[in-house]
Amino acid sequence: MPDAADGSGYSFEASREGELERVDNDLALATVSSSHSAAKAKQGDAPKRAPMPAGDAVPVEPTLPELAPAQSTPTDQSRKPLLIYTARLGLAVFKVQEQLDSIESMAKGQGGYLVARTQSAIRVRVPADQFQQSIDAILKLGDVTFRQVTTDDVTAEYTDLEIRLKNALSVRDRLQALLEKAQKVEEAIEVERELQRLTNEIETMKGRLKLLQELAAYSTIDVSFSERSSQLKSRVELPFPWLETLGLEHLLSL
Amino acid sequence: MKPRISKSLICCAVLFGTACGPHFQITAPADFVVLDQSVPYDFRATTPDGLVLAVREFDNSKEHGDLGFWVKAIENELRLDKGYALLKTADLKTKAGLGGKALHFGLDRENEAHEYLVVVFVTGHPQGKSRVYLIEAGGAAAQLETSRKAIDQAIADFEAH
Repeated sequence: MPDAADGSGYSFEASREGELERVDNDLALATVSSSHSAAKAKQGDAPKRAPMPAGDAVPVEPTLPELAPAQSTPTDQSRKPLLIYTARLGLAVFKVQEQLDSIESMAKGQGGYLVARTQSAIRVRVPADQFQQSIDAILKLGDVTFRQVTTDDVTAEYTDLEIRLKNALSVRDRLQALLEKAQKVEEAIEVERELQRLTNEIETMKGRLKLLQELAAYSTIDVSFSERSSQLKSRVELPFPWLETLGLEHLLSL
Repeated sequence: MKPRISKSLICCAVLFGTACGPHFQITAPADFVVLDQSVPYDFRATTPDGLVLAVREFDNSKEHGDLGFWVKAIENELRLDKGYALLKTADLKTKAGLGGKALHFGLDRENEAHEYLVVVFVTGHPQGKSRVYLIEAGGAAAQLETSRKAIDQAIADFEAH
């Protein structure tokens, strides 16, 4: 079976920060564009969770564990990088349903889950430490015509959120103490209003932290089966019109 | 059931862009009937189930693309542009000693697995007349499997002039 169709073996994609980064097929070589550029993926960094229940075409959201209170500080050198892996694979259109079934089974077998499935595409999420193995397994399923792997380092954002959350919780405690000591109704209303605003902010930050944890714990793999990948449209077309008439469409038109 | 059909195409006529019409000979396998109207093919035959065998040739005298060039061009067209899965490639040689390359592709059509075989031959000399011959066979995967031996035989008996 041939290797990457474009022959390059790797692809390019702008990172979320807008920088252009080279993304190797081998994740061990993946470079990460962020303040933690030297960060390297380590298997098992992400929190472990129980396997997700079997899903169908309906998007399935995993149940996340309660967020642990922030314990680390920004100077904590033992902080492991929080990396979000995403892969996009394009497979040739052959025995599609069979291959969709295989990908879904593979993901579930590795402790992952199905996010969505259509007639010609599937999105699964697998534990981060199973990401490379999952891609390797999919590559063996069929003729891969396109592949793209991206790594997004969200360590800085996560750490920043943790600090802000810690501070917000601290302020909330102080506000609650103030509320108990309030002598006038106006004072109490004012403090309660501020408490409400802060509580909303805390919940938003907690939600974002949970999301980042979840995205790092489970890597996303998108597989599509389609003609002419949009990433390959820029391929030079040879000046031989008969090439266009190759294929079953012409051959079987009797 | 029709008797075994054998049809040789050796002629010289201006046909579909080729300066001089088909310069090959192929025998349609049993259970195939040869079609008269075969554009853009120089030869095409079909089984009752719609399994099709076809041949076409192209003048290669200007480009002088070698076998590797045309094989790669065909592979790119089918895999990258048309979504075909390349299942297998193999070198082959006809009984007449003509060397070529076989490309075996797969594609789902209306949720049914189909297979498509393309065999490429390049004849001629670097400075002289050169031609590319394509033998194509395709249909539902199960049908192609059933007739595969007969198609392989037709390819083995193929002759370019």
